[in-house]
Amino acid sequence: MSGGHLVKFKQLFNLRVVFGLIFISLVVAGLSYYIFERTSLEPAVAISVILATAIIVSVIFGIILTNILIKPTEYLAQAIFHISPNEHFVSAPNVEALGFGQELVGSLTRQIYDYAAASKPSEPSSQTQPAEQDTQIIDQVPVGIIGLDAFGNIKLINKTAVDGFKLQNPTGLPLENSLQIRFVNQTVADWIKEVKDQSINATKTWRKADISSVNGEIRSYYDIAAIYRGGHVSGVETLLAFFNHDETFRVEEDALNLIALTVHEIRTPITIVKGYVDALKQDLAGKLDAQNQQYLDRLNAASQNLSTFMSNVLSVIRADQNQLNLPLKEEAWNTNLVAMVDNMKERAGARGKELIVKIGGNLPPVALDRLSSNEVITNLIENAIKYSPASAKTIWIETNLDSDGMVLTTIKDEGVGIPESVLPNLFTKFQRNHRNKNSVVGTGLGLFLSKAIVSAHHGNIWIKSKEGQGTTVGFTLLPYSKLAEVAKDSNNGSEKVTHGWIKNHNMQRR
Amino acid sequence: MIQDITPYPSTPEPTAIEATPPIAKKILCIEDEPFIGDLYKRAFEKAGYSFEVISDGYEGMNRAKSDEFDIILLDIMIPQILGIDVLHELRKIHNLKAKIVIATNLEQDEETRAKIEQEADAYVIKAEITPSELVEFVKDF
Repeated sequence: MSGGHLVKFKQLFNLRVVFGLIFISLVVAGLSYYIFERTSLEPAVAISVILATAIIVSVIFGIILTNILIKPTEYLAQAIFHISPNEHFVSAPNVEALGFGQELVGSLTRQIYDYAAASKPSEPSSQTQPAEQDTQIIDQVPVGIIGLDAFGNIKLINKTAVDGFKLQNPTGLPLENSLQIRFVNQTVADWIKEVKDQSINATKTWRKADISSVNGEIRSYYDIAAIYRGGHVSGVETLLAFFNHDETFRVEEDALNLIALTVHEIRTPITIVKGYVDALKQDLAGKLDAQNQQYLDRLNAASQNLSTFMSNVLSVIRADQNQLNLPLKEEAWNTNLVAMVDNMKERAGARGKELIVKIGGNLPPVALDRLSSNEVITNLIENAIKYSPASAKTIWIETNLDSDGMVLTTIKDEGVGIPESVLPNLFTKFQRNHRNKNSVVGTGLGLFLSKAIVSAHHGNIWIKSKEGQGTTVGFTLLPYSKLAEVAKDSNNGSEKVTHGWIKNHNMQRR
Repeated sequence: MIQDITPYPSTPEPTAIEATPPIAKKILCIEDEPFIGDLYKRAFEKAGYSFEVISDGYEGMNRAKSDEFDIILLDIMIPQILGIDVLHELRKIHNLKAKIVIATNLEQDEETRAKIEQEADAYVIKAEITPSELVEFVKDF
């Protein structure tokens, strides 16, 4: 590829410029030394002579450098004119004769000729079919390979894929007629549609796709790598490679099953505690003094917190499996946000922080799952509290409508900030700011889960931070009026509520 | 540190269910955890329902087939037979008309969730809902 050559080209160019400047400096310095030491010229005359010499040397060097630089461009232009159907008198460039930048220009020229060959109209003959020897070669590859034509139909398939997926005569049929691919955040067909509109070449990988044959005979986990090459001469526009990871993922699945079972066992006593607190609250209503009533509330809240944590653990697992499906309802965000922040105020106050909420006007109702969005707010405010020094007293929570019509909420602190190198990985599971991880308690799941929850709300989350200058985390929520557009067919007519769902209820029932 | 934590979302006022006894609907609860069965029985009976608890899966399934009940509360992890199989038997084989509410603490895999969505009328996580909230939840059935 030309990428490496480009780097080499830049390095060589930089080297020449540096040597050139050193050369000019040496000439001027030498001349200056000679004039001042060996001649008796007036200082004004001496400086004029030095300046004139510097200008002349720079001009000469500039001309040489420009010639060196312009040559590769001339060669590339010659290659483009040569393949152009309108230019008949331009010969092919002789790249071998080029000194500086030969590798880069050679690589780019080869690509120009490749593209030209690919775009030439060809006879609808065997040229559009993959060569037989190519098929023989890919049959040897121990990875399933499927090539799709411009219409998404299977045009090429190797033996590993045919055998692995137990397919019979799949050629010419759409991919989805042969395989069901689940647990991917974007289908192969949707991805192809997207890249067709945007680019000529694109690549994508999907991790842990659950793939089964349409007849249900085969079901396995695969990583999928895809290359899209718009209008490729072979007729295969999209090439998919399927890497079987059954063994790895089965181990993960066993671990996840164990967690699910553990959560079940912990949830049972939580149900009982919550149930009896509920019964006591009913039986003792009006008979308890304020303190005993508070004790019951705390017991209830503590069991609820534990229950929420258990649900979060499972949410992390579901997010891992691309299965986080939240019961979104029409809710006013401003009142919910204020209630959520109010719940955090005492905790923040105990650590010397003040939470200031600023609500923008004209916020539309949002598509919201209160329980999980509360988890996002709690996580983000907790982080702001944890990573702020004692001297930082305020955390600002603001919400307003952004330019895309989404409801934006930001949490801003005056904390220690995050090193730039850590920022890109912060939404990864178990990722924590390494400088603080020994001094600040945390699981490294909060931001991962927040991102998964915000995504399940059809929103985005981001972080802006500079070391020593605080951090701002922002996330968007979708106006409820737009939910139908983005989530059609997602609820199957069931009303989802925070603790379950009821079938065939109007989604707007409160 | 002592905190005054307001539970979120807040639980409904306990007096709400006592004041609204519905028509005496009959509920069968297939649940093997006796304390949970007891809590549900107490809350539903207080709200005016007739409530019967059976802990064994097969026995509960056969009792449900008597068609005496308006609502079946069905756990997934129950002795003898999985709740998901009881659900399928009652809904698809026996064509039971009663509303079936899956009340479980077990996280389902994608396949089981799909089956529940297809065959059950409602689904709750028991740890996420108090008995009085459950009464409120099914009051429109």
